[in-house]
Amino acid sequence: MTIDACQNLETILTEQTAFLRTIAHALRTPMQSLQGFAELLEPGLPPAQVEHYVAFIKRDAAYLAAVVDDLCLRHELASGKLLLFPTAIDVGNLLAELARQFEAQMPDCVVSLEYADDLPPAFADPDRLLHLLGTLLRNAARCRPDPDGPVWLTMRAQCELGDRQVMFIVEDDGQQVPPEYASALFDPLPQLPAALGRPRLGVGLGLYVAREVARQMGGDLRLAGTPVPTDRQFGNTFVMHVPTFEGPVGHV
Amino acid sequence: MSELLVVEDDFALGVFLVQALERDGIPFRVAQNGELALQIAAECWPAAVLLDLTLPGDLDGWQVWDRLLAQAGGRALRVILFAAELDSHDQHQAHQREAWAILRKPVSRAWLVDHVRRALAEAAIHA
Repeated sequence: MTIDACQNLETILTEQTAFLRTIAHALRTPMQSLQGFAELLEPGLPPAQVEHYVAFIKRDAAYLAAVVDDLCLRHELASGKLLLFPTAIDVGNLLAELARQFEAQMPDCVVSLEYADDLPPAFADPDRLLHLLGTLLRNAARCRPDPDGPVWLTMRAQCELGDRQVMFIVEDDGQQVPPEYASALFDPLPQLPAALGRPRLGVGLGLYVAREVARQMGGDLRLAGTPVPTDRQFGNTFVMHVPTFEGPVGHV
Repeated sequence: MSELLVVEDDFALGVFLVQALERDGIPFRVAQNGELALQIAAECWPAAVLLDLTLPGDLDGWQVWDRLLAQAGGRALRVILFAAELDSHDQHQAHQREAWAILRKPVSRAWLVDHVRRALAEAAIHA
């Protein structure tokens, strides 16, 4: 083996080790939270406290499921084996289901939906699209300034004339991502400065997976380059778009 | 009174630890990052430290541990490592620093509280 090959192998092994550590952390931390809150649920607790603990359990269970989904999707993307089953999707039905799923997982979050009734159907894999939009909502929920406070999220869907794309827009209250890191945000396991203040977004795959899968569906995901007033340090807007379908609307 | 210093950044786990420790009547203070942990330790040396490794900011758990060792000045430092990503190398490092205990998440509440209680009891004997 040449020296270059040895160095490459060493680099790969180092990256694999770092990746495994990240995954271990991303899985074991919520596992501890799940086990801990389940153990705190004892008979005789006030209902409000039970509700509080159960909310953490639901949130962390959903978070774990999302991490596993992202890991599987990353594997399928890397191996070129990701299969998508696009169909015509009624955007209103899709968003209603998204809100139902999300609010069941995150009992302290309320998702308001904004879209025009006459939006054309989207053309995408509904199961994957739900996961990707869920990623954007979860990230936004975790960027809230008060991690224990209620959070109101807005998911907007709109269609821009001429571009034949349905756009899904989510805004968060997290610290603004400086333009120089806007691209790195979509790297797998992004290396972002700690000072940026964004919460550690799980295993660091969510936005990477979301963008790659959106692209495979003929769409994309980006951080909107909004003009930044000098006194505004918080708030990011993520925009995902997928193609529209011009034909009969199927069921979600 | 001798306190436990909890160094944990995860919000949900922080809430769980507060609830669990309060329920067992264990005195504690919480730091969500390394800098705050060092500040609290400088104000009042903890009887034991429940330490996570992955922390936000400039200091990770190992660096916090090393700085605490540096500022111990003859005082006992009882670190209960409470971390999610512990491979053999980490365990070796923890043993080299004479960890009081190593707990890999997830552990039961009883196991966690038992270790904390014993560390605080040992501190009380030597106080």
